Amino acid sequence: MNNKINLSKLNPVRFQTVSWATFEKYVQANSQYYPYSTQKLPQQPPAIYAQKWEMKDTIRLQIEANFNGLQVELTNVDKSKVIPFSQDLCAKNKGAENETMNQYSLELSGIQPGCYVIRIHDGQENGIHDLSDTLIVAENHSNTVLIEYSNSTPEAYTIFLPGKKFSVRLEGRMRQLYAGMNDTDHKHSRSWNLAIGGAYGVTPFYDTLLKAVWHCDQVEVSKIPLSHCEGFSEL
Amino acid sequence: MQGNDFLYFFTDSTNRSFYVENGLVKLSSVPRPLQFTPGEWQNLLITNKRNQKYFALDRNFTIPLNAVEDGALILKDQFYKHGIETIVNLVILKQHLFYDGTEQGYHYKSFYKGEFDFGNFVHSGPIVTINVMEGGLSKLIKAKESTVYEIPMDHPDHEWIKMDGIILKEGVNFTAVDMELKKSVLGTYIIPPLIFSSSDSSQSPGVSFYSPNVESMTSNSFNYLHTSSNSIALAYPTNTAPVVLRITGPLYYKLHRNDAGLGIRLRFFKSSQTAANQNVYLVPIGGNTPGQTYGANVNFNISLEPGERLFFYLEYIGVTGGIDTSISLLPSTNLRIDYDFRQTTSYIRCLKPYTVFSELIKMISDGAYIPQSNVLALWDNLKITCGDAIRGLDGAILKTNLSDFFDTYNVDLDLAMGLIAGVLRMEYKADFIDYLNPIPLGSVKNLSVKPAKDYIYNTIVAGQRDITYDNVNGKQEFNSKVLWSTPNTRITKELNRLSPYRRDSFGIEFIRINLEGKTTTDNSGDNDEFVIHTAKIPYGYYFLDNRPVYMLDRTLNSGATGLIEPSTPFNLFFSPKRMLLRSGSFIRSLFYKQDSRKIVFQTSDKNKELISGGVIEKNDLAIGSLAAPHFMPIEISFETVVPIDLIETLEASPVRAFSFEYLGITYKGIPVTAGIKPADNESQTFILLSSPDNDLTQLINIFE
Repeated sequence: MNNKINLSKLNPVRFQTVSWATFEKYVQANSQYYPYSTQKLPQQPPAIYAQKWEMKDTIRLQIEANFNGLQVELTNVDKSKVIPFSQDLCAKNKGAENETMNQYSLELSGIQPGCYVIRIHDGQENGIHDLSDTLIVAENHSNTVLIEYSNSTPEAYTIFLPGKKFSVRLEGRMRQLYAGMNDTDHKHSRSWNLAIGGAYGVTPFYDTLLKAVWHCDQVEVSKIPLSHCEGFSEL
Repeated sequence: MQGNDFLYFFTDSTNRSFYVENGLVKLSSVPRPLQFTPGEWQNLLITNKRNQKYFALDRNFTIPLNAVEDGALILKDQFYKHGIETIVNLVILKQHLFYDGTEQGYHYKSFYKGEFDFGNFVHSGPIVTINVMEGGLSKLIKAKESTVYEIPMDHPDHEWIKMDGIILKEGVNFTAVDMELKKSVLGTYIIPPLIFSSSDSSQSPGVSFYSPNVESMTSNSFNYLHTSSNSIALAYPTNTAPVVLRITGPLYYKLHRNDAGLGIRLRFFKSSQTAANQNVYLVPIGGNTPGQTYGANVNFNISLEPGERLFFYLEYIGVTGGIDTSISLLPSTNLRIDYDFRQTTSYIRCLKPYTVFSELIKMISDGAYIPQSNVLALWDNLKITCGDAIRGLDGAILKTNLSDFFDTYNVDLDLAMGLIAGVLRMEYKADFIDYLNPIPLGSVKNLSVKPAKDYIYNTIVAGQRDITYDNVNGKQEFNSKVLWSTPNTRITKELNRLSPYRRDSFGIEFIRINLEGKTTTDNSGDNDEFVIHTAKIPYGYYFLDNRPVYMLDRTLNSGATGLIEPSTPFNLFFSPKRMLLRSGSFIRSLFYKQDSRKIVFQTSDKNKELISGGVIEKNDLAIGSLAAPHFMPIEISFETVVPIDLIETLEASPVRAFSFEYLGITYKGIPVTAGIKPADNESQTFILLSSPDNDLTQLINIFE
């Protein structure tokens, strides 16, 4: 049986199946062309899009595999550094011993700022090989929000472990409605407006991801427990 | 490994899967999913909408599905071979991930089951477009709730009620014909002509009254009267007890000529009397001066045995001196006969409410479903019968439908009916509302609040439809139509709490009295359904079939007022005021912040004077005194993300309320409309009826 993996729909990073041999070409392309470029006006220059992460963030991924030896690594774009993710979970499938649900995480606090790619592979030359979109790790990304999410029961084919929330950082902001009013004056001062996306919105991947995230029963945006439908709007 | 998110099955009525093999449609008892998913499935919107009548959730579907390849072949095969009534279900299973702390895995759970509506089947090229509808019993109930079914009253589970009668009051009037009654012409013994001028009821119970013709009797008048039919009254031979007639009023006569040797005797006389006691009911007469008018006050209590007649006659006694004697009874004579009558005890067939409920569902579903009801088991002493059964006719048949059956018991017991975990249940409304274990919807947006106009009324009509009786005692009937007005003035709408089944005890008794055993006489009430309140415990078993016999329940009669004779009427349990009180939770739910106001008694078609068990029928009803409300008549709508498993949750327990959070405050409500788009769980607009526990005043300072 061929090695297979299934990526959780709640993983915060998009992956594509790309051969290791074309890594440089992939990174190059992926760093230069903004997926929403078609939505820009013809006279506008092509934009570059890469997912932003801050060094205080943790990337958490869940991957189902039908083989042993799955590897998840963060590698910089010149391949000079490979940092393995740590494994939080390896739950066997009750009906199929070789199948496992795996959760990996990487705290970015020890990572140097720069451009990175996450690589998922099985160590086989012609085996599994998925690469993430480019990630830009920095100490601080202005105008971004960290969305953390978890659920009390398995959701979207994803297992949630206590104390290990998933998170995704996106362009956006939380803004208090009726700014300047005091809590004691008006009840509605507790209402927030969440705006997601930069000048060109978010890529379709995040649109799909957020739809799934809003179904989770524990969602925080920038550490504020979210009334996830409340005041949501797109720029 | 993770498989398909959804598996689709086409199944038959016994849950076997249709599948295609070598171009042929086959059935498999092992579940076999379709190879090709129906198109448009992603746009399917399932709406759970509260059915106002049954107070349960109905599911509706909005999108026709496009079946292709194997799905289309199966649908075409069934349609072209069996027509639009063929049954093919769409069953969708959804894959779930489970994790027990160490191991994980996948399983498919039932997600949705609906039935294809072949009435909307369209075959066009390779595609079959067809609507999905709520299948199974829900579909059948919608289609057949008003269809009248026949249930024989000699059903194997039938029971008996001992009908021992209501004491009825009756009065009739007689006057006289001004006719000279000459001894020389008519002889010694004369039956004078009287006119049976009127009666309180069009058909007097237990006694027939007549206008006797003038008649000359033989000298042996007593023997003559033993066999004559020229009487003023005849007690029904079928009576089982004597009827005591109270005869009162003035009797006037004019003496035209008088032979000094003769005397005048005016007598009431029973057909069983003898010469020896001929003067027991002798009318005292006045003087004997010719040309004078005399009057006598009649005041007798005369007891007639079954089949006995009562006569009135004149006798000229003594020896004549040759001068003729004659008198005339005068039209100013006004004799009144009053009597109490209680019809002979009879035993009538009845059915327990659950028996009827179960039979109706069986007939609606061709025997596929058996309903359940704790409440109908609890109230099995509210028996059902029909006009023909009350008349004691063999072969009596109850003709009724599910809609009327539900309405009858709902107005009395405040019920709801719906599917819970696949079983049709009729229970208290309160059992269809679970605020203790609400389905959490989390935070919601676009909250909107308004009065629930479907649940606001300015008048309430309760009781039963008006019945016109031809008996004076019918005026005493308390189970009639009663109108109340509510404090609401801005919405003009009437809440109908009239029972389709009759419960008028006097009406039931009139049918029994007037038509018992008369197999060739029709009556407008023959096909009416009736409910009779009996004792819970049978007092015996009927000798013919050993089925239980129940006494009428008269526990509320003690101390009752507002009835001429309060000890024998029955069905006081069903009085209109009691109906409202037993539905107090629902009635109170119709008023928001009006506990200090009243529901004001307006009119009653018949007897509004009844007071029984402390309940005064014509008194107004303080809203705050009613039982705790089920809900508030406030509709709250909002947009919300739908819980992933809402379909399964509602199917397993459609009685659960919803809870939601708005600006940090948690509210609860019962769904009026709850939409689900299963494919992507898009945010939907929900409408809830507010829980009575919500403090809606917290919304005053909300400005969004």
